[in-house]
Amino acid sequence: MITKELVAASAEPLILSLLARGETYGYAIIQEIRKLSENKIEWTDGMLYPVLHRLEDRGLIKSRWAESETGRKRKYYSLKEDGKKALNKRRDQWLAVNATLTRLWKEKYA
Amino acid sequence: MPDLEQQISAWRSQMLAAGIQSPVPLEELEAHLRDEIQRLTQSGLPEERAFLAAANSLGDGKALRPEFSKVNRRHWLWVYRNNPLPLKILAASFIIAGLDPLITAARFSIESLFRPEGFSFSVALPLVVIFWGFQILIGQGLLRRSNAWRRVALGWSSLILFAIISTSVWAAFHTHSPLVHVGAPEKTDILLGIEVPFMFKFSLYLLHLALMAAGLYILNQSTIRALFRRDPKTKIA
Repeated sequence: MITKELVAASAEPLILSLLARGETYGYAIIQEIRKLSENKIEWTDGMLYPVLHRLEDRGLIKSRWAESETGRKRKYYSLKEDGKKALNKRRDQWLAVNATLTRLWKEKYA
Repeated sequence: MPDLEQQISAWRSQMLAAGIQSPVPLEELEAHLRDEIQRLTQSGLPEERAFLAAANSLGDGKALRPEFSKVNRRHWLWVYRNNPLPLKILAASFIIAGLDPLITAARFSIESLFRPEGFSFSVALPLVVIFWGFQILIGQGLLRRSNAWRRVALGWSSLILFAIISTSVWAAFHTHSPLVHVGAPEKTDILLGIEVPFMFKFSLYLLHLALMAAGLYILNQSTIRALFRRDPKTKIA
């Protein structure tokens, strides 16, 4: 289990990165994250939506309602230009943290 | 056994009762719920249990509501986020529009409290300037982002605002106040050559104050948020 704090910190970069692949909707985001993280990242499903709305509110992503293949209405989200920029920034930060930890662990276990 | 549509409509009313609003975000949550139910029933779960599991993993309305309202509270300010500069200019113009009646009122009201001529403007103006200076600095985050600083500045400036507003309201109503004493208006005032009832002018003054408060509110959004924000770390929102 990943701690709540880390889950919280990683939610936005995960969502932005997923949306960088293309337009998708809330339910699919949850499923995809669960799959990619091998069930290690567990969100309370409903908590995804406030994050999406906040990102939209900040102008990083946009949404539209459309009918799915089953005829049900769904809200699709996609990345905006500002979202791509924000993602690049986040990416640099995460990579920096990751690189630091990797170097430290290499020292310890080498 | 209740059928699925009944269960979902009961779930909707529960969510509404918990303060989750329709259509946003309730419709989206319902779409999610239906997707999950569909996935679970396809994997062999009976409908009723699929509904319960899906509703459970979606989360409790009471826990979700504060997360959504955090977004909604900011929502009407989307213009600010997307075009900060024009809105800041607008806010500043509100403040400037409010400055004139505020200074006038402060001058008369403080004068009425401390009689000696000359005290009013030289004291009231710096007070007002320091007050706005603080507010704008805090609002713009130019002041060092230390909580103690912000609290002192905000508390201090609200005290001054309170003093100015209360004394000016007092001055406007009090028959012996310098507003009546010094200025022309007794019951009527001349505005653009037309005789205007004093109360009309006074309500214009209140409108000015309201506009200024709106401007202040916009400029200070970040401060207000910073002061009252709950620690969001434990949730993904």
